[in-house]
Amino acid sequence: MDSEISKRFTEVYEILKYLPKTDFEKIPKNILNFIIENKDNNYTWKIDKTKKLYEQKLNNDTIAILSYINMEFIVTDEQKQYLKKLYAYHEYKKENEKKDNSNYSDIFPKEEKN
Amino acid sequence: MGAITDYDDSEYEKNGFGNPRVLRQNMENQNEILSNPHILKLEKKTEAMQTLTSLSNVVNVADTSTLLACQLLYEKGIDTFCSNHEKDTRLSEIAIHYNSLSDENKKIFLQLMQEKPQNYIIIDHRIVFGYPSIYNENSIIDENFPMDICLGYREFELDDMSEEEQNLKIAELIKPLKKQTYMQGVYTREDVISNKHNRMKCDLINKEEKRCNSSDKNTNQEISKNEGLIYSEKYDMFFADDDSKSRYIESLYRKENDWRTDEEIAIDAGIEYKDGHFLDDYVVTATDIVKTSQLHQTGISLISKFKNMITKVKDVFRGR
Repeated sequence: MDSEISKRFTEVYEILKYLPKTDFEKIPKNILNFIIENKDNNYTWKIDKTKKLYEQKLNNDTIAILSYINMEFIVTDEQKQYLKKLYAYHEYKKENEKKDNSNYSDIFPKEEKN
Repeated sequence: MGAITDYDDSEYEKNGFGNPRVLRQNMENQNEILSNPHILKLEKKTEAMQTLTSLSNVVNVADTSTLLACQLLYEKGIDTFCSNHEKDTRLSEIAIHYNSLSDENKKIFLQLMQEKPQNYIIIDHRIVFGYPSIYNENSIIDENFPMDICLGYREFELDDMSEEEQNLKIAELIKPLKKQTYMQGVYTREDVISNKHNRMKCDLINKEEKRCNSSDKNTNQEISKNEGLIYSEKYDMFFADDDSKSRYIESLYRKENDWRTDEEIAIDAGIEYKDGHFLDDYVVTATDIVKTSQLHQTGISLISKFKNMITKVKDVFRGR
């Protein structure tokens, strides 16, 4: 496994430890084992307990893995459907932002310095 | 814990028995302990009821010959509320709450009661004035009310034994019990709604049982406020007080034969230890995760990438 991804699994595992017990127990053992087996044990990362999760500096991959676990195992089916739409909307929005930016650079091309 | 006993610390250290690890090691070699008398002058000082919140403090409150047994009980996640050793008569006994035992330990205890009725008894707490004793008569077990277990030896059973031999002998009574999660003053939501927290109060003598002011319609926070209990979202449990909560958290991380200090346990477990209490209140909720992903505009393709990575690995889903 890629070493950077292993670090992300270390962060994910650290965060999962702070889930309420009832939510933690919803995560299948084999998923947890996968994370444990693939995390980087030489890499140390600690959650900042003075801040809420969304206030912490987190890697996008870490958030994506957490979002997958949350959507797949923790929330209700109804919430899962909502989250699928939300994450699809984020995707769509990002794509459009990219398009907007490329249109902008078409209209205002960077001046070449002589 | 009952009688507080004064130990001569300097003599303890000199003989190497101030350290509970040493005492434990000596259980493995009883011949050595018999040739090395070390329990020194002991004096009963006072009586006190308190929840022990530190393994290292057991030595300050356990009564002489019951020290090792009380330490074993602590490690097993069982609350000892009284220990007693009569120096002159050599009566030695320990009291614990029957309802603070796990189901597995309740079964073991009932088995032990049958095998050694002179050493294990159970008493309805409401009929005991003062501390329970192994000289009390057995009561009929009623799980709906506080019951006390008393275990120990009557005078003649410890005749001609040194203090250290007595320690080892009483510890043998504890050994069959299994490690469990601490349960004294710890309640589930269902427990509270059924009023267990009031029924199990050990000050019921001559008092009317308080009614539960909460129902299924109340949120956990409301129940906590109505009943004067502490609610932990992380563990989804209610606690009678900070001491019970601390012991509960500690029991999740302290193993048997585990002599780590409280600070060491907290560091290893990544939890907070402050003012003599284990704290573990930081919680990450499903909503926190969604808020974070919203803030970072996490897209479905990145989530799917990791989903595929995790689910693709052979055998990951075996046994689901």
